[in-house]
Formats: sequence, C-alpha cells, structure tokens
Amino acid sequence: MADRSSSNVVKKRPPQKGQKRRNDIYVNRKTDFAAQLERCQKSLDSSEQEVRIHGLGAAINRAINLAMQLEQRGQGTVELSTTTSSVKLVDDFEPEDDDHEEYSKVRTNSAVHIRVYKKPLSQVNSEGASKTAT
Amino acid sequence: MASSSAGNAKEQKSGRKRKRNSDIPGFAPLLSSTPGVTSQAPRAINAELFAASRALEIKNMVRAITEADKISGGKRVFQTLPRHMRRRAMSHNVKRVPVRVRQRAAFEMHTPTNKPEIQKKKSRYHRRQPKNLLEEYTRRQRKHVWLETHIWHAKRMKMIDAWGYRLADHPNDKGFRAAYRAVKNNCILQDMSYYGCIEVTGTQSQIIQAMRHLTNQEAGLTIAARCYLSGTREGNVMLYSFDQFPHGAITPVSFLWRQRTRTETATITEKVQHSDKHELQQQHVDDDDVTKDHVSEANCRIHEKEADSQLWIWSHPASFSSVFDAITEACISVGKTSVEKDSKFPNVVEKDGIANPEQLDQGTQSIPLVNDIEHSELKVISHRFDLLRLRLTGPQSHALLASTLKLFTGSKPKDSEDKSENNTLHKEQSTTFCNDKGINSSSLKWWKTSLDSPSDSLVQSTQSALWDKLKKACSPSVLPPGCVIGLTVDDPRLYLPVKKTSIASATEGINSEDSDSCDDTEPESSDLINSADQATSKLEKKQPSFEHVVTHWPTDVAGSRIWDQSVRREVKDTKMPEQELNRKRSELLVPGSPLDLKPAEISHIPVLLIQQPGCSGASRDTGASAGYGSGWDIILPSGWAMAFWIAFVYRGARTGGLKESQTLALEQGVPFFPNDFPDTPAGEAYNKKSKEDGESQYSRYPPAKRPNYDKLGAKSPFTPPWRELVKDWSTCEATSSKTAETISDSTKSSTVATSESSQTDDSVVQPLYVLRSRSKLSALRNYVLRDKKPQKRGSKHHVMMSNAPSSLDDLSSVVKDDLNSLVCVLVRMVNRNVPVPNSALAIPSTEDTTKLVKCKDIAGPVEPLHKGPRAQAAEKSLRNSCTREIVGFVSSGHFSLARGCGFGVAFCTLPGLMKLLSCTSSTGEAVVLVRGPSTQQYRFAYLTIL
Repeated sequence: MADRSSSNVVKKRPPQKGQKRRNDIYVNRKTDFAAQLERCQKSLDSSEQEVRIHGLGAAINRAINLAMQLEQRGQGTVELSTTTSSVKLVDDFEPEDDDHEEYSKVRTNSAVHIRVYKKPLSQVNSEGASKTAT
Repeated sequence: MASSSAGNAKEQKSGRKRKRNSDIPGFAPLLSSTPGVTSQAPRAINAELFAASRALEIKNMVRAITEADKISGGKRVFQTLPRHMRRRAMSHNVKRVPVRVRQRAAFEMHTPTNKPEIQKKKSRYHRRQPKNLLEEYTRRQRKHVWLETHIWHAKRMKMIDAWGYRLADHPNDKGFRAAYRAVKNNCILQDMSYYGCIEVTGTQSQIIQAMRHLTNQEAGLTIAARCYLSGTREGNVMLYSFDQFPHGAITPVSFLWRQRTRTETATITEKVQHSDKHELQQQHVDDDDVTKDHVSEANCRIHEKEADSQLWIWSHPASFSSVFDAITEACISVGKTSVEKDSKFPNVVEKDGIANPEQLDQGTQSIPLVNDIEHSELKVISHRFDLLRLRLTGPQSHALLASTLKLFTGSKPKDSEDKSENNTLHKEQSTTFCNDKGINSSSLKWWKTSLDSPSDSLVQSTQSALWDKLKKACSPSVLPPGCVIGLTVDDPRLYLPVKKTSIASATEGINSEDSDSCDDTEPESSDLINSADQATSKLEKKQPSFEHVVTHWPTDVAGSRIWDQSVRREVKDTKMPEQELNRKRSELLVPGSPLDLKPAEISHIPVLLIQQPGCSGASRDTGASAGYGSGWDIILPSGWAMAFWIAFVYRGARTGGLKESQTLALEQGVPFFPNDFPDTPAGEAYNKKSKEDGESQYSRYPPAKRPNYDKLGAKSPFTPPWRELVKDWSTCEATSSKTAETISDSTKSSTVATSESSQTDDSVVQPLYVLRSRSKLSALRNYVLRDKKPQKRGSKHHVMMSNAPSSLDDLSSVVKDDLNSLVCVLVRMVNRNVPVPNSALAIPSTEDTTKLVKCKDIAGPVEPLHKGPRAQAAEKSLRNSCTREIVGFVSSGHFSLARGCGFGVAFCTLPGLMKLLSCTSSTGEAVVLVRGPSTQQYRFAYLTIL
C-alpha cells in the first residue's frame, strides 16, 4: 500500500466492449456529430431493424442527442428504448521508480445503451390513419 | 644601307618565320637566315622532342590500330568504321560491310569469340527441382540472412537489404490505408524475427547489478524494476553504453525475465508457489482494489533464492552486436562470464515450411571467452536464430489468436496417454480415421515429461484456464500492458482452414464454438456493456471473473518451456515435415477433412504471448485513440514460423513489412528505431545513409528540375544537421548563461568551459544526446501547461504538478546541465501540409502568433529567397540562417490517418525549445513553424513534448 503514496503514471485502458455487430455504434466526443448521425441513419435505413447506440461517461449526452435526432428525423417511424449500466474501467498505475509495484484500479462509469428501432409497419400505418382522421 | 635595310627586312621576316617555326616544338631553330622557299621548311628535326610532343597522337593512333587489329577488343569491324560508312544490319549481312574489311567481318561473324560465355539457363523444370532450388536459396542466402518466412514474403512484398537481413519493406498491393485500417479495426501480422534475442543467465542480483551499468532509472523503469522481476510483464528500456548515461545511447530494447514456477529442483519454489495460490485465492475474495503486492513479493523471494535467473533481451538488428558487446562488458565487470555467440548466418534453410533436416542443429556456436565455463557466474548467449517473433497488431488480433491457437489438452497431472489421445479424438470429432494405439515410446516427448511433473501441469492448466477466460476480450488492449502468457499449443497446420477466410468469419467460428464448449459464456453476456447486470450475476457464480483476471493478473501464467534450449531444439527437430503432412492429407478419403494424427505424432509447441499495449489512454495530445496499436507478440521456437504464419494469414490477418511498422509507430506517436534515434550509432548510420541517398538522387536531376536548396535556405536538405544545430544553440546559450550567472565548477560547467576556450571542438568534446530523463521532460511539459493548470488538470494530476516549474528560471535551473541535448517532440499541423522529414522547426515571431490567434486558417510566413546581398551576408550559423530562428528538425513525418492532419516526430535542441516555450503565449499549446526543405512557406504546427 506504500505504492499509493509514491508518484505514478496513470494509464487508462479502453473499456471492454462486447462483440461488435454492424449495428452497434459506440459514440465518442471526438468524431463530428453530423458524421455520427449520418452513420446511424445509414445503418437504420439499411436492412437493419435497429441501431444500438452506446455512450459511456461524458459521451452519454451525445448518445442521447443522437438518438433524439434520429427519432425526430424518423417522424414517428422510429422508437427508442433506453437502458443504463455501469461499466467497469481499469486504470493502470505505473510506478516511476524501480522499487514500487504497479497496480491497477477499477472504477465504474455510467453508460447508456439506446436501442433505436423501427416501429412495426402496421403500427405506423394505424397511427398515421388516426392522425389524419383527427 | 638599302641592302642592309632590305636584308634587315628579310631578316626580320625570316625572324618572324623562325619565331613561328621555333614555336612549334621539334623544329630545330635556324642558325642562319637563308632566303628562298627552302628557308620556310625546317632544316632538321629534333626527333626526340618531336616524338615527345606527338606522344599523345601516337598513342591514340597505336590504340586505334590495336583496337582495329584486336579481335578480342570488344569491338567488331563494322563498329570501327566511321559513322558515315555504317549501314543498317551490318552485323547480320556481310555484304553491307565495305569490301575492304568484309573478310574480317565474315570471320568475326562466324567465330563469336569476343562475347563472354553466356551459360544457357537451365530449364525451369530443372531449376524447380527441390534440390536445385534449395541450392539456389542457400547461395542467395550467403549475402543476407533470410527469415523463415522469406519465400512467402518475397513473392508478395518489396524486399530490401537492411541490417544484414533481407527484409520485407511493404506489400506490393496498395496498402497504406489498408494497413492503417487493419491496425484500427482488424489485425496486421508482421514477422519481427529479425529482432535478436540475447539471453543472460546467472543469479538475479548479479544480472541486475550488471544491467545497472547499462540502464538508468531516470529514463524510466529499468530491468531491475520490481514489476518486471516476477516475469509477468515485458518491459522496454533504453540501453546506454557502460556507465555513460545520458551519453552513449545504444538502442531501446525489450526484456523479459523468466518466470520460474516449474523448476523441479527447488521444492521450496513450489511451496511458495502454492502459498501464492492461496494468497491469490484470498485476493479473489477481497475487494477489487487489492493489489498483488504480496504475491509478487513472494515471487521476488523465490528469485533471490534461485541461482539461475534467465533474462531475455530483444534487440533490433541494427544494434544487435553493440548490445551484445555492451551486455558482455557489463557482465564481465560483475563476475566471470562465458559468452556464446551465434554463427553469422543461420544455416537453416526453409523453403515454404520444409526444413532441411541435415542443417537443422547448427544454430549457435559456442565461443567461450573464459576458460572455465563451469565456474562462470554469468552467461551471455545469443539466441538470434533460435527464437522467432511474430507480431499481431489490432483489436482483432486477440480473436484471431484465440481461434488459431488450439491449446494442448491433456493437462491433468495424471492424464494417461490413452486419455490424451481420447481427448484429441473427441476434439477432432472424426473417428473415421482412428489409428491404432501404438505410441512411439522410444522418444520421450518434452510435453510428456512436463505432464508428468505436477507443477508443470498445474501451471499449464492455469494457463489454459486463463486463456479460455480471456477469449471474451474484445481487444488485447483491455489486458494489462505487457502481460505475458505461456501456452502449449498444437501444431497449427492441423487446424488450417480449407481456404483463406476473412477475419470476421474466422473469428466467428471460434466464438460459436466457444459458446458451445464452455457454457459459462452465453451469447448475451458476452456483451459486457449491454448486460452488465447479468455479468455481475455471473460474477458471483464463477470465482475469478473476466474483469477480475484483467485487473489482477495471475502471477503464475508466464512460465513456459520455450525458455529451455533443449525443448526448443526438440520441438524443432520433431516437427513433421510439410511433405509428410501433405502426403497424409492426400491419403484422406474426403479431401479437405481435418487430418487425424496419432497423439504421438502431433507436435506441441511452447509459445509465449506478450501483449503490446499500444497507445495508452493517458489522453496526452498524441491524438491516437486509446488502445490503438495494441496487439500480441508471439514468441516461437525456430522452425515454426511458416506454420504459424500461414495459419494466421489463412484466418484473415493482413500482412505488413518494415514500412508498416514505421507508419504504425508514427500513428502511435512514438519514435521509431533507428530513424528517430539520432543519438544512437544506428540512428547516425541511418542519417548518413539517407543523406547519401538523397544527394545521389539530387545530383541525378538537372538544375532546372530540382530545388535550389541554397536559394531556399535549406542548409542540409537531406539529413538533419543535429551536431551543428546543437553546437549553435549550446554555445550561444552557454555564453549567455555565463554572463547571467557565475559559472560553478561542477561537472556540468565543462560545457561552458570548453565553449569558452575553443568553440570549434565543443561539439567534439560534448556529443549530443537525446533528453530521456523523465523528470526533466515532465518539467518541460508542465511548463507548457503552466497557465492551463487551474482550469482543467486540477486534482487528478496533482502528483505531476507538484514539481512543476512556474517560471522559465526554474525550468532553466532544472535543465541547465543539458544544453547539448535534443528533446523529442511531436508536431501536429494546425492547418494543411505535412511535416516531411528534414523540415526545419522555427520559432514564430510575435506577429506570426498574433496572426494565428486572430485567424486560425492563416497560412504562415514566407521565407524570402536567399539570393543577392542576402545570400552573401548569410554566412551565419545554422540557427540564424533564416528569418525565423531554427530550433530543430523533423526526423520522420507524413499524413496521419488517425488524426486527419500532417504529423511528425521531431527533435528540438533544449535551449531552443526553452526559448520557443517562453516566446509562445501560455495558452497551453506551444505553436511552432515548420518549413520543408524544398519550400519557402512556413506552416504552423502544434508541438507536444514527448
């Protein structure tokens, strides 16, 4: 435990992702927002029935924003279902001198997983009909 | 008078003639003036003089005659004819030759004597005969060392001669972006076997003591660092010549201690090991933040007790011999040392995986330096051609490895041979070709003996359990940096896919198989993020979860029998030849079905897997995302490269060469050896070579078609003039510091003293070096961030900030000893353009920076042409040769696909960098001007101190 007092270099490992499918979109804060949106839209417009948007930590806002934009663009054809989770992240503490051990710590960060899926066609139609009726 | 006058006139006339005659050498001067025509001609000729003056003409004539005469002169008769007499097709048709020489021409035509004997090329069939092909390969290998995968590479890649090897430079297809994508999303495979391994054995304390002479803690963790001693991690360290830090840098090396968990001799070891396990178990019960201190301490204790520690040091071939010599020197200084050098070239010839059996065991030659080898305490052995290293880089490399490596099952300690056979049979699920149970018991295989010893099999079972658990990992980057796993795997040729597949389909197969075989990984819970709740519920059920393993890396999985020379040799010798394997395949009833061999026939190969961490997510502005460039290194015994290579390639790994390594290093933002190590001998050699190449290429172009570097003000356009630059800056700085403060008479003032006494030999006395001291570099970095501190990096980085110098004076007091040093920096272009190698880094003037602050898209200042009075006045130092002060040069750079802008690794002189940092406004990011050697335009770039 004496290690903790000495100076360390912190190195963060990337989070463990699941097996990445084609409709999994991991959101970061560096990529241009419009590009991310386009990517989601493209995936949604293709044969995929749903897109999963994953946002971790500070990217949660952006993930939500993306999903909302998709919903808005969909004009009622797209729905969202959101789950949250805690992701365990690992930080490696490397000592700066030879006499100390390295150690790693786990911290948790919150994540959001938004499933953006196309509404079943019948539902959309009936909704549209009811709308026009009113 | 008249006559006399006339005679005078005549005399004058003849005198003129005479004069003219006497001008011509060889003509005897006339003694008397005789009128008449005859007087015009010389009376006599001095033959000697005449001949001497005509010597050249005579020589030419004689040569022409002899050439005309000579039949073996290289020229044929019609070629000696004057141009106007030559005709088309004279060599074919004698009648076109003038009659005078026709006979000779006809003679020449029918006797082709003067041509060198052209041996008729043997027929392709003959050349392709295995024996002849092999002969040809051995002949070609005499000049350069070939890797085992050479033939495969030579068919697909541009091969270059480098460091005594013939290495693949880059693939022949267009691969720049493809290679980047492979690293980013998939997996790239490289043969790094040209890296040589040096083994040091002896007591650990002595090895550490020896290595202390070559490394320094200032430059980062050394070989003696506690986290490396247990052998669970591979480390990287910069080697310096014997006690010469910070001068005399040799090369960066990676090193690995052998993990001794399986020695039969030391029963103590095992006991401690068991206690280790107990501790580990306790740890698992503990909370997540428990360190593995005590375990490693226990491991250290083992090592101190043990007499024979083993250390592997992997070195680049450019510096291999110097590293070997340095290590030998260091070891000799500590204790008696015996040295085993490798033979210059490996005699093993491999052609597409078929080993030449007669030449197998000539790997190393023992050259004992000390007579009594038995009493020598330390041993330095070169395993240059005994070990192979393949490198897989990219997130998919883990899945690829998991699908390729079939673990040797039979790990139970009391597992009989029958059972292991059954196991393999079950695994194969092809009982149609069940063989008889006759097991060749004459030769005891190494894996059988290792099975018999309980410690070994215990280790093996923990290793395979760990590997099974790790199959879930999405990328090697989620594992601890540099972690090592030893595995025993089956011959990968037996599980080769029928045809080459893409990486996704290859790894999909293993994943589905995975979920079949081990029931604990259900398809949903494999997605950790998605179903964290399920994962936690699983966590309670199964003791050491994936996360737990990843954070608390077990300390007993790095052991492997690959460390034993005898095992390596045996594995190599008992390898089933490709030919034999193919024959067995051809005997299969259903072509393409998996081969079913007797358990005794299947080779089991000990391999070491070493994780390469790639970019750390420390979010320093190197730009690449965390985990970029992470991968696995696989260390194999020699002879097995092709088997594994093909197995990886068939599962969809992209392959790369040296150039891919270079671009990968640049994208990661790390200096590449030897290009970016100007203070090492290898780096100097590289610079010298690039200068020669550049000059020769430059001289091939006409002046109008090449840049005029004098006018552009590029003093050294082909290689960065490090020495000159450092000299300029250090002398200037030294003199200025002399005026500022009184010189103290410690060691560091020697620079000042020498610069005072004689400025010329300053650079000779104090060679340049690259600043690698961590504390000084972090002081420099913190100085850049001096005003950014309060906003962002408050509490998190308090440790780093504690020694942050706030003012320039503090900083200069920290680094005052290092005036002769270079600092490695990264430059990232603000706008467009690319920092090409040898671009100059210059300090922007205040107008420049204000302009940049005002408008970010501004192009940057322009250097006026160096001509006219300016050029004459420009006999200044390199530093002040342009309008902006030059502080450094780019050593390698190109467009970075990870960042989307030009990016490069550069070096600045320390005084220059300090001046630059003090000049720049403290906005947190230093801005520097970059100008390529063939342009006048300066461009802005952000500067990061590495």
